[in-house]
Amino acid sequence: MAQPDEGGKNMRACFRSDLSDRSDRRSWQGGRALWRLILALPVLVSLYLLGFLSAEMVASTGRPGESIALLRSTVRHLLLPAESKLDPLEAFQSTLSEIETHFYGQPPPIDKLTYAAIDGMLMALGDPYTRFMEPEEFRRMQEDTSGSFTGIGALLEDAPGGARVVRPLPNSPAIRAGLKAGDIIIAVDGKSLEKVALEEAVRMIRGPRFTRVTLTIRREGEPNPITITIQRDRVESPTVDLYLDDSENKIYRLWLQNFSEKAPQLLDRALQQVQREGGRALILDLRTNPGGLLESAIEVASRFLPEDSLVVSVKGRTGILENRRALPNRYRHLKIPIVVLMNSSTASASEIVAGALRDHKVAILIGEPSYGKGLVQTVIPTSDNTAVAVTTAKYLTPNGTDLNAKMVEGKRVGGLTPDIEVKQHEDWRPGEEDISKDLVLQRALQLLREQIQAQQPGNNALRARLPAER
Amino acid sequence: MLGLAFASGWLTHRILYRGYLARGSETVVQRDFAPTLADARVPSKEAKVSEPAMTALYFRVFSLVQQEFVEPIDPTRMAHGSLQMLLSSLNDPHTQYLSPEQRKRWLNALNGQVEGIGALLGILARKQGEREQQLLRVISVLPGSPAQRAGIQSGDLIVEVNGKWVLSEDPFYEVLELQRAHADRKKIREANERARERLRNSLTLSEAIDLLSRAPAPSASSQPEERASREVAPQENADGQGDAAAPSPNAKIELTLKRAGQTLKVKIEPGRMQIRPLEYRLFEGRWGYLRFNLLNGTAAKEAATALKTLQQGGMKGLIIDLRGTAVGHQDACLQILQPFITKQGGRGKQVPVALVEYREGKQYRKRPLSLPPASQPIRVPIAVLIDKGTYNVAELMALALRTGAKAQLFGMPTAGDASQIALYKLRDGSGFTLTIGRYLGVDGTGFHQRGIQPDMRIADAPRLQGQPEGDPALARALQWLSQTKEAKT
Repeated sequence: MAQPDEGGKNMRACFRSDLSDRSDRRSWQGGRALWRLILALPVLVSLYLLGFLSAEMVASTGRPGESIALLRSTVRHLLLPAESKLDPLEAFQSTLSEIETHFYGQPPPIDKLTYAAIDGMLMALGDPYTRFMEPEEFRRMQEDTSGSFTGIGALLEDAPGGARVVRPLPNSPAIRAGLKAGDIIIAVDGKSLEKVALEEAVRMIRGPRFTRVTLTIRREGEPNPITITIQRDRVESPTVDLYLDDSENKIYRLWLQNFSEKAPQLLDRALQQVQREGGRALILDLRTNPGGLLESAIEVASRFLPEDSLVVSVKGRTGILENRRALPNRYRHLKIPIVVLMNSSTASASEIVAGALRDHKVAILIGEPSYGKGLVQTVIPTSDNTAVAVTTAKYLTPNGTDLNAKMVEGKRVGGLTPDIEVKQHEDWRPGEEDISKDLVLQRALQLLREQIQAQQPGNNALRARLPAER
Repeated sequence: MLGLAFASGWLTHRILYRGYLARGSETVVQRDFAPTLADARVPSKEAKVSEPAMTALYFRVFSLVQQEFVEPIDPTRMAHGSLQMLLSSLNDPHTQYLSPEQRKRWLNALNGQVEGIGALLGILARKQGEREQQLLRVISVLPGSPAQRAGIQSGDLIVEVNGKWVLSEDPFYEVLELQRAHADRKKIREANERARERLRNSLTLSEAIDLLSRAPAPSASSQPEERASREVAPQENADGQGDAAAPSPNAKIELTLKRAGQTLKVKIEPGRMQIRPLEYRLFEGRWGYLRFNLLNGTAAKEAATALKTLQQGGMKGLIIDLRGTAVGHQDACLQILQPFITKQGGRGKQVPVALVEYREGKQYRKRPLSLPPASQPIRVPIAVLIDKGTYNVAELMALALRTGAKAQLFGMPTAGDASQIALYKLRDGSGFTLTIGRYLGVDGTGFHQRGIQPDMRIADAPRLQGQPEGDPALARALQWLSQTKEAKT
């Protein structure tokens, strides 16, 4: 969140200076005044004409009177070249005022109209990440990055006719009430989710602590929908899950689901466990991790990189690079092979971490090319309850790779390319307990097992085994 | 001093043209999604938005982006994007932002210079159960246009343009259906793939409209031929109202149409054409015939001359043909009506010919559209020909003739669009349209969506030739006129 108030102050300062330079026009004396008047005459005449013509333009409606029209068009081109610029504020203000006074239908509330106009203005930038946050969205964003909210504690995904439960979170109200992975929520408090977007569905399910919500769900093997009532409670946003995917070889998988404020702490706890239990290889699973806070990404990378290693370069509008480096006293000295898993939903902060670990040859990347969101957004509050996320900079990996994908002929090109590309099974869903369908994970396990069995500790050795390193 | 000079210029203008200004403040356009017709308004200079906090918010967002965005920005483009969303959030079919080119095309169309296939297009929203569709529909086909030559008719639905599907509904609808029916995963995946393919090979409604309302790159400078000839004798070139420019090769557009459940494919060469506003003639030395292709200022002027010529020729009855008349201007329409207005009440008292319903705050009010009575009103029996291509201000005119001049309407029910539309111009030549009212008959009856019912229903004639042969509605109107005349004498 960068200096939210600067813009506002500048604005006001501008207004003041505009209004305050009329003071030097008061005193004039006889002869000089006449002289000035003569000088000013052409100006006055042309202004007169200008007044006449602008009135003409306001009134012009394609009525007869061709000589006037001819005069008008000739003179207009001489005196009033068509302006090619449109000031957004003026355009917005005048259009909105016309809507309010003249539109035949009942216009939507003025805040909704304003939000629509702002959305359209930001859309014209062609950058999907620069966006306006309405009060509801801004509030949710604040919840999401602070890492806890009140709800039922289930990970949902879009599904036909409603929302599918990817998995209920451990120790959550959802799991206590018996909600299962694969259940499809088709109604919330009796309201059908058929035409409801996932975001909206999530909003319907969330609510004040200790209130109740009734879900109608469809469950495989049950002929009829069943209803479950769940008491909402504070739910710790899941950020890190640790799995022992191969107990024989002690290969641990650390699934980092987002880069919330709490991510670094939770990561520490998990890494401690891996080290305490003598893990022999680590899989850092960044699949379907949409990113989060840049600070958290730096913190996370600092666990794997020695102090002062370059994590990411930030290239701003003026081209000045800010180099973010690994923080002191964070490095965990992991002496085991590390693999990073990624897929097409690995984005933003995840890509920063993956890119830094790859460029410093700390880990190898397995999976699908990443999403390619290499842009920094700064969230700036614009009123008590709204904010705007503005793309203020680009990310470059330590080797200088631009992380942002570009649209080329309707296809996204860019993002991080994995060292070993593995196409995922179509039926795989993130967070599924059964890992047999997880082809990316299987490939990573295979690689690490070979590595462990060859008794070659250290990542450089692992990288040396790669067929073609880029 | 400087301001004074400016103001005096302004005032002089106002004093000189007060009459025009008074009328100018009620200028109205009607349109659908085709460049039909236009009239200028400029947004009020003293823009007052009811909540200044909202303007401040907008400005704050803009200046933040201007300062902070990673790349330099283009304020004009941002203004355009802004208005586009603002206006479309009103969810009104006649309210939309127009780029400078689009706005120009509109104004040209009002003057009869039409580009593209020469059909006026609209959007038909349809809901079948859960399935919502927005179909691209032909409102009216301009006489002599490429669309008319290709046999396109009003009411046709345009399903594909150059093999690309016009995005008229959610392409994933089928997928949703299958998912609801719990079809197996493979089937759903296939349907999903199909829908994606369909989406990839599609045009949005506005892309399609743009493609159909644009001429191919200008070849030779094809100046439109001069206005309609003024003889009373039948015109030799009865269906040649249009004058399509020679289109460049390979510019053909292939359309897939749906008409009455059948699918047809047609090829059209888009071009530029100049529509003649008015044609007229005198049948059998007695029956005047006015056919309006446009209802603009020129049409009004020509109509006045034509009526004089017809009266001198001994006109005993009049047929006003408004079939397919979709391009027009409210003021022109009133001007055309004026010679038919007979005095009501006191001397010089304005006679209402229609009503406009408008919003004032949260309330709706009505005000009349009035005209001064004609000094020597035309009192012959009048027949008006209408069909489903008779649209908006043309509908208003038909209705006003029925109530005010006791005209009989022949043909088919009209399109049923009573929106009163204004076209605004912004500083950079772009603009927008806004629905500002709804037309009603002078007795308060509406025709929005319902259309105007003819007094005598006669199925659509295949072609408007200006000849009673092969034109049952015209033949019937002529017959009615001669009977009415005989009954009177």
